[in-house]
Amino acid sequence: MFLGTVRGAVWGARHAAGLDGAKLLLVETAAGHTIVAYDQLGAGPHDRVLVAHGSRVRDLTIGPTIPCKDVVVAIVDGTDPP
Amino acid sequence: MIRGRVIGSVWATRKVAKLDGQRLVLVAVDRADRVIVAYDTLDAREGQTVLVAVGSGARNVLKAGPDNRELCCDAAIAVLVDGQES
Amino acid sequence: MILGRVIGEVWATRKHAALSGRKLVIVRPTLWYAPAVDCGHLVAVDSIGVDVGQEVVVCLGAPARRSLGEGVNQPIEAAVMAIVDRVELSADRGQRPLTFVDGHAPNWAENAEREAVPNSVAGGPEPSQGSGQQ
Repeated sequence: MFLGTVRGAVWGARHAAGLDGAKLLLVETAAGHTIVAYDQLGAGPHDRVLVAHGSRVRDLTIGPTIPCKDVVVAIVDGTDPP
Repeated sequence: MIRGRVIGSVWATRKVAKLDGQRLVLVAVDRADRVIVAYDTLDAREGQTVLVAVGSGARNVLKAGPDNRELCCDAAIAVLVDGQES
Repeated sequence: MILGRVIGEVWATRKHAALSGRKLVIVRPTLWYAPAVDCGHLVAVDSIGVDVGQEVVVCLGAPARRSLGEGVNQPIEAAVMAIVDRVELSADRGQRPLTFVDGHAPNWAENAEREAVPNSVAGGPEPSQGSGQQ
């Protein structure tokens, strides 16, 4: 898993089946990369989140038919170091 | 399995349950810029070329069978390579 | 598995049910291992009780998930499985220099030839200066 910060959301009028109604967030990692993660926890802009990656993670959280391998698994309250 | 070379040893007395006493080595993966930590039950030499089982199947090197599912192992040396033809 | 150093901890109340009660630590990997997502750090479940500053071995992927117990669907892909006492590099390790993440080489690698991470990813938080909270 890795930490990132929510920078925005993604909408698409046309999308793959399985992403209907999905909340997709733009998450910026500490290294400056931006990934798109599936969110079911209600994270908002500027929230720090914990993202898990992988097909098995996807299967266990959002289901095997969803074409997204990055999933928000926690909204971070705090870290040490901050 | 992936091929690599044993480049060092890791000593750790505090480990998760069921894996006390198991030797850990550093393996530099061939043709890839990766160094991983793998269990060694075969007493590999320093500098030896090895084949490492990685992922879910690695547990079978430590303990074969269906009741090994809780072993915390994602890499284990499966073969000590004596020689090969390329 | 990979070597890394514990540099911090994460707290979260809103999270997937499987993370409930789990201690989460921030680990800076030591040697380059071609991660799926390259951001200079990873977050792992700690069931041993590690402290900031300790060098650890982290198990990745499905084995990490299963080692934490069955019966729960757990979106976990990294778990600390050992605290390192000592690392020793072989004299016979070939010509290839070692690649350390963020250029941080530990004491045991002082004499090893090294090179920078290929993409020069300077990511991840800086290590905690305090003793950390328990």
